[in-house]
Amino acid sequence: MTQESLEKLIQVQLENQPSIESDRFFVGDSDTVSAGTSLTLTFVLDPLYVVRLVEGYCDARDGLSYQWIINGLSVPLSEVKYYLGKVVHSDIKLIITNPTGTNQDVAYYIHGWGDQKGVS
Amino acid sequence: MPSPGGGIAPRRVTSSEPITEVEKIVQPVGVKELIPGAKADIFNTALPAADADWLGSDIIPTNSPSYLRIYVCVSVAGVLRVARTISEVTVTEDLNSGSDLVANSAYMFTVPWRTGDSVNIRYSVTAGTIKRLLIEEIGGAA
Repeated sequence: MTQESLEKLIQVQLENQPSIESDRFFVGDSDTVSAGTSLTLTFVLDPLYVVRLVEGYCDARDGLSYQWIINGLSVPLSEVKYYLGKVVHSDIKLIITNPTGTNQDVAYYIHGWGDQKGVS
Repeated sequence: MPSPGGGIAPRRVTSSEPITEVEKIVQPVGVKELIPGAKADIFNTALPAADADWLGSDIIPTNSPSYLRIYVCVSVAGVLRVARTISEVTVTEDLNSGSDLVANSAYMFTVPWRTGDSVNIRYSVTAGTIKRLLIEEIGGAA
């Protein structure tokens, strides 16, 4: 590996890791998704921050379907992970649908970090 | 709020979080209709020994909880039984309130079951013919 490519690699890592000034967040909760209903969770972003999402997780249950909406794109999985943290520009949504005849309890969380805009 | 020293105590200002709140909305989507699932059938077959299992192996639930719909017609009178096994313990449950089925007459029974149950069918007498047995799994619990 050349000096240039090594420096570039280090630069990418530095730009995609939280700094000392970064505000890390972990937002989690649990809910009962009643039979025959869908639960839409909207994680509202603070507009003062550039928010990076590292992970979105929800308990996987038989019969339930999941949809993460991140930057307008739909991810039909119970769990999403971004190794370098994904910059999110709009509210993060999780839609949990329960078409079964049984209520289901699920726990979920998102974590990542945010950097205040205009702060170097 | 004054501080113990007489001045104004500093007010702690919490720094804003990147995520300000979580909104929750619940909407109805309906319950998926379950199509009856075939579980067992026997046609025009000699009865096994009295109180012997009719099915080569027990049947188990695909959906839980749900129901078995049992249609049966036997050429001789006798008591129809469900043999239910849970954790290697088997109990028998007499259908039709323990009364003999009328020979050559059709009957239908609905029997609840759930994960962990395995079920077979027995009859109190032999020397006859199982004209028809149909077992379907229907509906999840509401």
